Amino acid sequence: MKKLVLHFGEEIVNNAITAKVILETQVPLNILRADVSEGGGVFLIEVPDEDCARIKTAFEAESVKVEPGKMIEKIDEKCIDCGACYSVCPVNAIEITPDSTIQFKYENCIGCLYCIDTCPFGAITIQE
Amino acid sequence: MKNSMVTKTYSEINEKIKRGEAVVVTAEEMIEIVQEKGEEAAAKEIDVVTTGTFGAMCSSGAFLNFGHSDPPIKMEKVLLNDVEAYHGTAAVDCYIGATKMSEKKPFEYGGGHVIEDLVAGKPVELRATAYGTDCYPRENLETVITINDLNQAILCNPRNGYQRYNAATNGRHETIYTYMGKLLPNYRNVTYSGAGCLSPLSNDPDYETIGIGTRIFLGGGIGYIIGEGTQHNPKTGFGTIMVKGDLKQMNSKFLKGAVFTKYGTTMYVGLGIPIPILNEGLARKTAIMDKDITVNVVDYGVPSRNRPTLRTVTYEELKSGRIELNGKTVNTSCLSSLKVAREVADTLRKWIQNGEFFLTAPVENLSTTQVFKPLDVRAKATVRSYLKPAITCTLDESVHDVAKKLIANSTNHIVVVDEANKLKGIVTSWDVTRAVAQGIDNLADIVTTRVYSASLDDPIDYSAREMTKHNISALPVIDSQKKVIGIVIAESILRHFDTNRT
Repeated sequence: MKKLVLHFGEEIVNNAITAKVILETQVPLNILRADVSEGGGVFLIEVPDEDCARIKTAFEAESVKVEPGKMIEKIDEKCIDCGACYSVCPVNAIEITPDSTIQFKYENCIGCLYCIDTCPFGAITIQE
Repeated sequence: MKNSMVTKTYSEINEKIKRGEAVVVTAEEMIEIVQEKGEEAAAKEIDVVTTGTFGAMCSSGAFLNFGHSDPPIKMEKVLLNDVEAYHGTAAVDCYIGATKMSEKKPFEYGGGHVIEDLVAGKPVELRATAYGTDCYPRENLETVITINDLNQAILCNPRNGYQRYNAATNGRHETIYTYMGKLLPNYRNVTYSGAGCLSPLSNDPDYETIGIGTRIFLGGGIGYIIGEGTQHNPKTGFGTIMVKGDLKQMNSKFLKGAVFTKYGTTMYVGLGIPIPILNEGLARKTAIMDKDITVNVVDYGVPSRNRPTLRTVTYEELKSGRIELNGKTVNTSCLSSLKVAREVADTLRKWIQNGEFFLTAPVENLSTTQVFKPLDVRAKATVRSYLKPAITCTLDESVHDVAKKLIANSTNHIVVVDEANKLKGIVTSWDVTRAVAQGIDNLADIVTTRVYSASLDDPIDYSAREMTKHNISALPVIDSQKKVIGIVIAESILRHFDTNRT
């Protein structure tokens, strides 16, 4: 499974684009997260690897900006490998290796952003 | 206690260090050695065990001396990168504390960050103001300094290196932000601090080798223990140390400013103590394992000093990443870095192996009996403790009746009420005397109807101030419906102060 972030612009936010793409491509995409307001919307979706390219093309045809699904990023130079972030992650996207290094498994991340304000060193940033 | 088969001295160990022959291992490595070879053989073989920790230590800061400008200034307010430094000392000395926050960027940048920036060699903005004196005429100063410009930059931390620390969780229905980090609602996570078996004081819990003068690893440089830390509580296994070291020798990798969301700023301090293995008792103690160190899991959702404990837990369980709590499995977060703690212990090991670091015997060991007392905020005395029953009358009574009541109850104050016992006024013995002298018998003519009153929970010093201010000697005490529940008389307050005077 691959994650994609969809950016819906203000002018298209009222259109039933996602439903249209699902019907058109017949791909059962999974919406992990959806933030919609009058100013636009951001979706985090999960799609089977083999359908990823098709889905991307279908959304882009509807003027949706499609990016690889990374909602957050750990800045390794700032991280001291404490693990303050570890326990708030609801989907086990943060891993502690046997040598006590903190590793982010972005493929598991659903972009809930719970971890952002746990870091004492500001090492976790939101990907805009 | 059985006699030790192995005895070594500090000077023997230091001789070996000088010759490059000292056998040094970290506290994690020591566990296996003692398990394999036993205490006695381990004590013979191993000379020094190094420990380490790297965690948030709020009770940290640094003394800085700026030198004199021309014309000189007696600094009164000092700001370093907009973080105020304490300035109750001589003209150009100050103390910058780790938790003091920037005036412009609070909850983002603080004293810990200033110290980190100084150690990293970064320029730091210095602004100072003063009132100006004959000897220190300058009133303003604005410049940029680096650590090299300072005469002294001395890290001096009143409380570091907690032996162990309670783990935190949150029973409230909302997320809370604490110095123990972000705690999810309904006990959904646990946070903890400390390096467990690597933790310095846990490896010598009787402080056999730890005390004033012990040379240690501090912030990547060499430091010293200068005494027991504040809140040192050895009997319960919560010992602490006070440390100092030359900031100029330190490394910002082991001294980092940090922010706990909605709590404030602090500093992460890297700290390592070398434990000389003078006997097999110390070999045994330094082989302490994570499963031997227990702490309480405490509910930080309860805003009290006496937070309830949900269970006890070992560092082994905490380090596993999940524990059972109220029948559920919850994730645990370590707030200090085990990885950097290992680096501290390892660096110290290398220093000793390379003959760059020698051990010192403490000139005085840390106390093993000191007790940490809480602060009891003294209950402020309220009107309640001075309340006396009020003698009352109604307006339809005559002055004569009231005079009889004064005598019968040997009091100077009669409170006037209506049928519902609501406050209507007050009559004093002075009012009655005057009425008799002037031949008045209508009570309404002599009653004071604009009455000052008090409530049960008013602080007594407030009521005393009211009486002095209005030159009166008593206050009727009323409830929220203005019903009279008693009286407080100046005389009883005076008597109280008199009996309490020693």
